[in-house]
Amino acid sequence: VSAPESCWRTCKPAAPVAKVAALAGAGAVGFGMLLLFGVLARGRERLVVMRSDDAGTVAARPRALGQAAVTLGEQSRDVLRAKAKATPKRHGTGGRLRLTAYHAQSSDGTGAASASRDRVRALAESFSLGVRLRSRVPRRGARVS
Amino acid sequence: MFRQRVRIRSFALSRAAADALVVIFALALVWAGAMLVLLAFKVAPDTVNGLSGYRIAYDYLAGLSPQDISASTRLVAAIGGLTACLVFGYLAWRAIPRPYLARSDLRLISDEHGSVDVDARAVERAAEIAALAHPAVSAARARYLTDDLALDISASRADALAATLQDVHERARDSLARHQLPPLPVNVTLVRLERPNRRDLQ
Repeated sequence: VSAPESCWRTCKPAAPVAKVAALAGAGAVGFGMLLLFGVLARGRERLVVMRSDDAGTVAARPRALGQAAVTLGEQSRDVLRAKAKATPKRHGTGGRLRLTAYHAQSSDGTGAASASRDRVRALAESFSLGVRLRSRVPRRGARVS
Repeated sequence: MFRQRVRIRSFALSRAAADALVVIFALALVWAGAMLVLLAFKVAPDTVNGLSGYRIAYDYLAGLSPQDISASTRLVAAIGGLTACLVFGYLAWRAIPRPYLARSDLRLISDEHGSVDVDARAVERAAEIAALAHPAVSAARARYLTDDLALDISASRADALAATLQDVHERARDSLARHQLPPLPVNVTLVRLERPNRRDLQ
């Protein structure tokens, strides 16, 4: 049984039909999102690539690079503790490095930041990392080493 | 044979085309689903039609008759359909996964007198020993993957890390050459940095 031609503008669906339509629509949206997530957010190991050519690739896992940045950042006398996170680029070489240097309240934050930056500069340049550096005072009672 | 691994060869264009098709289908599904939800929640059909044109498309398609489709339209549709069939058929054929054993012996010589094979582990060990000879490398693990050699290393020093990785890469390549093995691409990856305990006296 088909509805009359002119009905589509004025006809209101019955409650059960509307419920089924709403469920089907929500299901379609959910399934579509799931498909998009599956295609675009496919799990793969992402590495910070330093060099890639016919002879092979030289790369590092982001966590290992972060550990290296923390070790180098903490070498400064003004820095009590450091935290770092490296994020690789989707394609090609390089990535980003976010480094947070914690310094004592009595010491100069700018000095701690510049000291940490100097320490990680060589690492960042060799891996083509863009460095974002912050200096913070640790929360009261937080561990510093 | 130990540590067999299966790899799957894939054709990049097939993968990209399949991904693009799935994305288009998924977006259409989300869009149509959203329109259906709007209609179910009693949004005015005119508004939904204005957003999606679903009724305009339906009326146009329902109103088509055989006389509306000219010979040239049929020709264009036929050529387009045939081209799509050939292109997507080829891509679908190339997209079929073709697994193969990634790790097998490396054959150096094979002739009527016999063959000379190098065990995969021997190739891996040559690279590992070359890497471990570097003073800043604390652990190394190599995997021979037929097309290339993956070398995962742990370093014990954070300074001059880039130079260490480059040096390990060179050493592994030199080691393959010294043992008269084919010059495989060597993929060196830093997987871990062993940090000294900061409480220890240094």
